[in-house]
Amino acid sequence: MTNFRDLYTCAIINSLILLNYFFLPFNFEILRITFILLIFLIFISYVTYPFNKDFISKIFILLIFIICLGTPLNDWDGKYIWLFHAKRIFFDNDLYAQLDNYMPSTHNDYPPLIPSLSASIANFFHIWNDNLPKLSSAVMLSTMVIFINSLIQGNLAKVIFFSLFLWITEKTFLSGSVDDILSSYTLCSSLIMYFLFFKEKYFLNNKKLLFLLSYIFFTLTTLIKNEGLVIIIVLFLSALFIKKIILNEKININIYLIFAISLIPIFIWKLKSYNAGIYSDIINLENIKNFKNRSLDLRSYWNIFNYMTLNKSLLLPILLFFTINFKLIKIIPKKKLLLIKKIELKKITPLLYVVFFTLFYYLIIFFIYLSTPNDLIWHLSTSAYRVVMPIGGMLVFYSLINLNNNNLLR
Amino acid sequence: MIAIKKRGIFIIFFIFFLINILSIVKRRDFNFSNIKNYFHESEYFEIKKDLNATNKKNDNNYDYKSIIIFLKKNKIKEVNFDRDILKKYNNIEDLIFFFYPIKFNDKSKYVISYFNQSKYNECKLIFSKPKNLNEEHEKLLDKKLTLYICE
Repeated sequence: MTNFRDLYTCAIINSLILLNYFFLPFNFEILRITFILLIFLIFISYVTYPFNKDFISKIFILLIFIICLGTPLNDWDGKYIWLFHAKRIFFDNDLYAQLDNYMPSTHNDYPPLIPSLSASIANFFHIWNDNLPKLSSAVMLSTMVIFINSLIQGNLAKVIFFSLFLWITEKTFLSGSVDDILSSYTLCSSLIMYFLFFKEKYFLNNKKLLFLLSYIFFTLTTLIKNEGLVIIIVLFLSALFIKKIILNEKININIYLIFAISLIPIFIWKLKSYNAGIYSDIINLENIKNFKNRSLDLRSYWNIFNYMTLNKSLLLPILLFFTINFKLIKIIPKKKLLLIKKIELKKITPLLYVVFFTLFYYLIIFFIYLSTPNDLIWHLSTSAYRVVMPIGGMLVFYSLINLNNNNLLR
Repeated sequence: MIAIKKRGIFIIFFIFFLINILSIVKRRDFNFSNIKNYFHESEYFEIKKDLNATNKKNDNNYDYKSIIIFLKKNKIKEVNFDRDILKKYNNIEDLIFFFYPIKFNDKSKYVISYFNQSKYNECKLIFSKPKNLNEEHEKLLDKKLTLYICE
């Protein structure tokens, strides 16, 4: 069922992205240029491979690259945070260039994975240009397309998923801000986490591939944006809770190891930022005061709920998810959750997994908004629709996976 | 019958997919000429290229890139922006982004006094003569003024 050729392709591309990040501090420019060359060659061979009949994914990848090349960068976050960090890495030839805290308004605490890829692309073309480094977004989004292509069978489910994914991420898709990339990597990481905990049998002869994919995707997701770390921890805890508490099953020790190792790069980055005196402006101890003030004001709750939920990035995926999984949801109210038979529980495992993740992540974001140091309405109107996108992408995918006789998650 | 239904749903969603793509294309101001511009811009940004050769490209307007080349040649790492620029031009991040690797420092003796962003990615500027300069700065700025007066 699973297309392992595409999974290997995906693993190689992501390994190269990660290697590029790891090698940047050592100034091996030729090596980094080789990584970028290999990534482009893999994409060219994927799109031009004549025996692959998945034309939807090929068309999508081509469109992503063409749109990316033909659009100027107008998004504030995309230009003044991500591209500016890339420009700094390119000119200073240093992964930690932003740690001098020049222009703190550009959020120097953000992890530099995507800027490092953009800088290496600029190194590859040997010039700085405001548009070419944006190809990093295209590379990372196309990886998601290949990954999803390897799991979904049939063009119908693919076209439904891609169109809905585009619809919910339209505002930020290829804008240069990394929320669309984070959504796609959240989805891929959630699927890998699901395989790792509940469906290892699909990788019976390819366990090393599963472990490699797990390490790469978890590490990359944490390095994309600060939210990535929260997402990976919440995904892990959701899966752990279901496996250990609800299903009462043993957990492979390797899972803990992979999870722990994949968090090392982001903790190194956070440690370096902390030593340089650079902290997140959103999460710090002073915010407890803001939280106390806002938690007594009911309007704040309504405003946060309104901005976070009543938008197309989340409302449509929630409706779609609960409509399609209506039959499975009907099992739950009959008995208490812990009294349901194990076979029945296993049927609703993907549902529980997504619901737990959605609830945990939603509550964390809700708490962060309640304690934000910025003006609440301004902060919500500029970012709420973006931070809920990872939930939206996941809900859409897990809704569609049961369609088209795809029993992958059953 | 099922096959026909499936094909119908496929066509509907494929159209929806294309509509989304078109919407993104419109939202992001897609234009094929952007792709051509990469090579045009790359010519500008050869730092090793002789400054005079760069200036010949455009007789009156000097874009920020040729200014950066000049600053780099003269080993100036930090510049300040005139108050008028900061008043007129609300988006300081834009200036900072354009001028990098030349950093912005409000204590720098080199002050940029005119900046106009007429088009996306295009601008022109001149240097003002800051007060209390030593001889070395004076020489440098004279050179600059002869090179960059636009108005």
